[in-house]
Amino acid sequence: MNMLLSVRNLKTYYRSGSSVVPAVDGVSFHLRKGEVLGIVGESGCGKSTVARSLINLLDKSNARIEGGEVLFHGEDLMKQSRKAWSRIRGKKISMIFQNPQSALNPVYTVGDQIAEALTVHQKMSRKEARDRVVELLKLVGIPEPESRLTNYPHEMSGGMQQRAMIAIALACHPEIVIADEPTTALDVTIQAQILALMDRIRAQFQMGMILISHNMGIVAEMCDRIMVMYGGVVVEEGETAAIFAAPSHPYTKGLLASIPSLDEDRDTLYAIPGSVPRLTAPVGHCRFAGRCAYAKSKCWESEPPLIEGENGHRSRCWLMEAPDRGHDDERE
Amino acid sequence: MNENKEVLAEVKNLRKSFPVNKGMLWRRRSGAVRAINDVSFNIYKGETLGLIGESGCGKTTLSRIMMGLTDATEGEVLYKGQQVGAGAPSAFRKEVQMIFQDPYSSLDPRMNIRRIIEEPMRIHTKLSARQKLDRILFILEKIGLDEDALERFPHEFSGGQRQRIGIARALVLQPELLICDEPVSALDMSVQAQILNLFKQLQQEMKLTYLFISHDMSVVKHVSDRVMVMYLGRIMELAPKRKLFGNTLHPYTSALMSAIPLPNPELRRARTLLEGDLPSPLNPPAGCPFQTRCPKAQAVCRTRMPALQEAEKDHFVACHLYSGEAGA
Repeated sequence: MNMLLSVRNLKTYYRSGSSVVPAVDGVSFHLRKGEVLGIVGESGCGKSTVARSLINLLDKSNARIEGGEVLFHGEDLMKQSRKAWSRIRGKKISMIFQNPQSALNPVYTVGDQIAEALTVHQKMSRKEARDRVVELLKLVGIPEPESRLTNYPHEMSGGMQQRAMIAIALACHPEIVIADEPTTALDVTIQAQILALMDRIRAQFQMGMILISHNMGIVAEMCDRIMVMYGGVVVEEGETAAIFAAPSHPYTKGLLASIPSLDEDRDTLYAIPGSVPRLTAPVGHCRFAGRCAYAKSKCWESEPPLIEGENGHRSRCWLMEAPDRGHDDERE
Repeated sequence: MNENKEVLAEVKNLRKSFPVNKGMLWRRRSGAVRAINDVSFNIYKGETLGLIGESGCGKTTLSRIMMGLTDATEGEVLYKGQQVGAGAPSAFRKEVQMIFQDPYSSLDPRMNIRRIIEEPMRIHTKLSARQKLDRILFILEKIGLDEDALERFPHEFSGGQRQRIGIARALVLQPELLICDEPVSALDMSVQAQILNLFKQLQQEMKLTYLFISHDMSVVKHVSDRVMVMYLGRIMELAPKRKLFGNTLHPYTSALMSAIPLPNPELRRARTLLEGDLPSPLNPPAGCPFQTRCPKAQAVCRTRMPALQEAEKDHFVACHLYSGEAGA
């Protein structure tokens, strides 16, 4: 079914002093062609670590992929050599980073940086590269691309910088784009422009996209499917419409209820008590149990698997377990 | 509805420009950024005035002037009828406090929580050690932290707890007006709701008045009684919350609202996307600052700035569409 990427039981741990932090602790998902998969969660839930593991950009001094496989065109990306990676990263799978101000190199012009993405992966004359860069700048909606070529990043606004970053990511027509909080550093009116641009380009090139965000509004608007992460694991996943219509994990429910709404007035917001816990491996209980209103003794004794619910999405919560149903573990 | 309310602070024709210099050795003045441009409004006792705007709209400069941390270029800020600024009476310094955006950089990492919360009292009061401790404990309980927090240091707390400590420090002098500059934007989603609820609860218990600055429309809508929208140093619209959100007048306010992604996939809408970037405050457009991006801009908007006027009762807007000067 046009499967682009399939991730099985990915585990990435960070070493922190003498303890081991399970930043990503057994995450499985797949991405189809032309699909937008959203990963939502709060800081520290592991969403950026998933992205960096997929594209092999982890800081090797303290992060290690402990297990799992990432299948892309039938090959396990986790087993590729450095050399093989340099042909994949930026060409087949590319990334849009959160903060264009720090992701762009301040001492090269924007034109040079986009051209670099092209010439590293393809044989191309300077003239061809230049024409292609102008084309890309037009595609991402930068006015007067010929004169913008020679701009340095500091001569552009934040929105324009993010457009240039998108041009770099798109330079080689990747099959998958991973966007890690692409609009967090931008103002709302500029954010709306960038989201519209990303949506248009994804449809035009039929790319698969993984969109990472902490903003429930952005994923509701952009994504076909959503994974909600908490403490390094997926706690709920399913079609966007299903999750927003009937969230089943207490964490997802709590998050949605805690967002102030524009269309209704409430005096007090629902607030999830406590804050995101710091976990150390191995974890033998439900990671949300300490903040959950429904926690029972079972939640502290063993960690629930992702359990299929009636509404078609899966949720990592013992409450989902119907009395007559066995344990369907997600690791088939 | 505001006639019978007591005015706590009054901002009159406020302007602030920052000089811009050029050259490394012989620095010449080459221009000025007009951060605040002819801004006037009142803050009434007991209300929450929300201030919303994008980067560069002057919201932080305004809060600094109101705190007396920066002097205005023109115009004045009156607190209880007295002018704010250098040499302001110490009552003002006690009664107006600020809550900062970043709970990581706004607490001194080398002070424990007791010293952090005690510091304002050491400067402004002559309380005994016992009285100070009583007040600290009282405030800690109000903001939802335990007594054992006292001897601990900021790094031992999460972002939400640190923001609570920042609030405790601001409240310990029993202020009347709190200026909150993006107080929840650095917090995680699940913690943001806790802090917003705390703000509301404290307001009722301690009869506080807030100037609440944020770039997040839904947060401003949740906390505010009245809302003020700023763009490039000017007030575009100012109205009670229900009027501003129920009957939006200014095209910029409508565009801001339409730009917010809503957490409801069934409401994916056709948006009015604003084109272009925010103009540079160094070189603002002539006429109305919003005319370069406004879908309803007309000839008059390019030449003259519309005045802020009362289009409906209590609902102020600065737009030629309502000044009777725009062509039909």
